[in-house]
Amino acid sequence: MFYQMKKILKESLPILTVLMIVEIFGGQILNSQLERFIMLPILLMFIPIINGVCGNIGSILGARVSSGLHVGYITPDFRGKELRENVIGVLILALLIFCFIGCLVYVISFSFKLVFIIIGAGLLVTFWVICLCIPTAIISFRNGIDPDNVVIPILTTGADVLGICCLLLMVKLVGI
Amino acid sequence: MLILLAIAELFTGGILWNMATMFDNTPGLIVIVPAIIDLRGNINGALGSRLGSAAHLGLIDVKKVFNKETKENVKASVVMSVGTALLLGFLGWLTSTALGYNANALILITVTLIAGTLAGLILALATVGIVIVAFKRGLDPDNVAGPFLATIGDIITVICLFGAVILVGGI
Repeated sequence: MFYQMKKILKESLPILTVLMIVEIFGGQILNSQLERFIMLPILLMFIPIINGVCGNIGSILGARVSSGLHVGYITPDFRGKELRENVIGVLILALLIFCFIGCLVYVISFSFKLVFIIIGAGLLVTFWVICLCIPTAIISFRNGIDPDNVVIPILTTGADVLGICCLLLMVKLVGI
Repeated sequence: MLILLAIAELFTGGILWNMATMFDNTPGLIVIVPAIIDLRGNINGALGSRLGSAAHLGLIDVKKVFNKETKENVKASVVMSVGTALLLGFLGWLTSTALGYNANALILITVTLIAGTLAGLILALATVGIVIVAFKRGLDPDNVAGPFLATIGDIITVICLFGAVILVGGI
């Protein structure tokens, strides 16, 4: 049999425990900045959108790269056409989705600042998610760990924590 | 589909909003919410990703999706859900005590255990379901399972958490 419960547990439990702690701390960052968000409630709406969309984009890329590594059409060396195509595809996907969300935000708020914040933060997080995804997948595969077990957990947690940080950063940059 | 899921995320935020009074009554609960939501997505996202790889490798086929490989994967996922739920209850209690909340370890662990196990079971089955449906329609499970699970996972986990808090509060 290809899959064994013991191997899955052995590979997943340590990383899940670490991510659990990261997530608890991420929650505390959000908690401590809550007043800033409550002043402008639309920012609270942005959090699940950025976390959700970037987590989704990350998990698509992660699952595709993992499958590619398993089947062998992606080689574990950061090069190759298939890998590039996957990354470019995800970037275009993110650009389209955040432009759409940006339009929605403009219709709701009539504020270019908010549009700029959500598109900027969204693309920033997407960029970081891609930067996290490819090395994690390739390094875990090289070390005999099933990338399926580690890549998606790291990406979704990363998107959550980075989402909050990038949103705060963009708010500071644009200045509201 | 990604846009639909973004709207579903907003709905989940709404449920959390309604739980606001519970957070006041159960100290420490707010600490575990982001982590428990994320964990369910992580565990079952990984399950979906493994099943997607298995599909690409030809280990499961359309006619008999629920074979030995699938069962082993689901079993591992459920065991992980229960194990991490216990651990999270404990870590949540530790963190909230360190932060100065007056948290009750027993209540927190019972809540995470009930919510985690229930959500873990439902989501593991949903994962297999979505992979089967994607398969039969000729879609790549890699493109569908991850986003679907991350979002549905959020909603189901929040509902289970809601139920668990009411249940434990009732006792």
